[in-house]
Amino acid sequence: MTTLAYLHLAVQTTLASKRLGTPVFARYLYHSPLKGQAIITRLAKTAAAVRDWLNQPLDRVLAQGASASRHITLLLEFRSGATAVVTWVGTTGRGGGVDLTLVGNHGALYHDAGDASLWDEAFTADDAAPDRDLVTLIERAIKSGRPEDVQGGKR
Amino acid sequence: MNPRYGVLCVTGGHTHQENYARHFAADRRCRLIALTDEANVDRRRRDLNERLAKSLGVPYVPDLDKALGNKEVHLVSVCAPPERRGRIAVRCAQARKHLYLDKSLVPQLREADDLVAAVQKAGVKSHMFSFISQPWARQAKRLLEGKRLGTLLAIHADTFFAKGRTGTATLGQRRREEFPPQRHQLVEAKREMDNCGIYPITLIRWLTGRRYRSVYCVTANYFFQEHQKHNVEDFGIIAATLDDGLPVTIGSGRYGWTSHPAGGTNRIVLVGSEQTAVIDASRPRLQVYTDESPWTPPNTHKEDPMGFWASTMQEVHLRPKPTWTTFGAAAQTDAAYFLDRLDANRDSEMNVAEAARCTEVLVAAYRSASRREMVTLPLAR
Repeated sequence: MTTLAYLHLAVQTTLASKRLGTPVFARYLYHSPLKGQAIITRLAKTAAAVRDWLNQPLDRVLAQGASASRHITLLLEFRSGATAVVTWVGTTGRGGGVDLTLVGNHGALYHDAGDASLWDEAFTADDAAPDRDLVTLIERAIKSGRPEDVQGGKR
Repeated sequence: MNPRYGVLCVTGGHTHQENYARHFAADRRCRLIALTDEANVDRRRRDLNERLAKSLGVPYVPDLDKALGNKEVHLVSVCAPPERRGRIAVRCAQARKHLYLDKSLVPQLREADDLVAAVQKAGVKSHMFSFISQPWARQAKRLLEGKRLGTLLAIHADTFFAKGRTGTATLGQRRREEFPPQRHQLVEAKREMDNCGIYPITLIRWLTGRRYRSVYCVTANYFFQEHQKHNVEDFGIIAATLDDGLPVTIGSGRYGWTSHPAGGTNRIVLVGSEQTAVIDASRPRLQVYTDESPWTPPNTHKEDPMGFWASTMQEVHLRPKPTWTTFGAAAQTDAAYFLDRLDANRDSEMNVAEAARCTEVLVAAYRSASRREMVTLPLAR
């Protein structure tokens, strides 16, 4: 069974190789039939992973969708100009259920169902606790439906 | 078969006319009549116009009004730069010629409104170049109409052009967008939110039949010093909602010759309540690996460093990327699609009224990016 951690580690290793140059944009869409608080938890952990790849503090979040509609998208703006779109879809996807494009100023990496195992087996996520500040920020963005700035500039 | 449509081309070399004119010329229903432009164009533009006219084997008529007076002209293919496109298209409509228009339609909302009014008054047919005639776009439409995905929950679409030598922009600062945007198209750079973003914007509008209700946009300079120098963006993302509340996101930009195995990312994700469909213009495909020399980008053409035009890329011997070979039904040209609509006496699904709605989305996007706030549509006139 392939865990999400392996995928994220492969991304980190590629970034560390500098082959992509400086990462500037990520589109990360994942499928997972989650419910309740687990939805926000996974969104926060995914946003944190993307933040680490882009290596910039988060500055602003705009959320679209709702848990009830089984779709939430976060548009993330980072302090030095990088951007990302993180999307949760509450149905089962093809392959590992992750569709990722990470663009650097010298290249791009891609991972989608066509690059996954040749059977549909979702990645297994870890049980680590999410960044509580990120959870709060995402909940605020979902509730308001407006761009929400990070307060205090720590995240 | 006698050609039914006499085609007048407005503006020549170093525009998409290099492609469109040849598509019309290759269609048995058409005969190219002439190439023309406004009488007061500068020397460089006139030289480029004359060069394309010569290569097409048609006369260059250096006065648009005179060319429009030719009774053998039925339709006009307009590829004038964005800042001149609106007024030229209005004059063509007033001369009662059908309009085939390069994208995006026009930069300003007032120009779009004027053009829609002129076309309606003249009763001519119109069409703006887009992806809607592509087989993969039609497949996406069939999937939605067939309800195979369940209730549509969201759409995410990206169009990234793999052209230009990347890695030269200075990073580290957020782009400060201007509004209204001044120049859209220069020799070295185009506004890529407009240039590439128009494709997913029109595609989503066409797929859903819904109008955009709100737009939030971020523009950026990630890749090219040429864009940065001219204060035009090379990348942009939009988070929008349609009038039924459907969330959509759009990524668009130009990200360098070597960032993709083919021409660039061109995909649309349709998220349904039952399943998700990913429509990718580069699938289905073969992947071919051989002992040939690896593909390398062409030398930089000083008149076209971003690889905008077919003629300049020919001059620097651009080779096709060989690794991916897509297959399937041959794509109809966009020009042939418009001719089909004219034959059937039906307006295009991307006529100027539709295209103008997408202009409004782009104007809203630039306003949003400059103010860093969500913009609600329709915009005040």
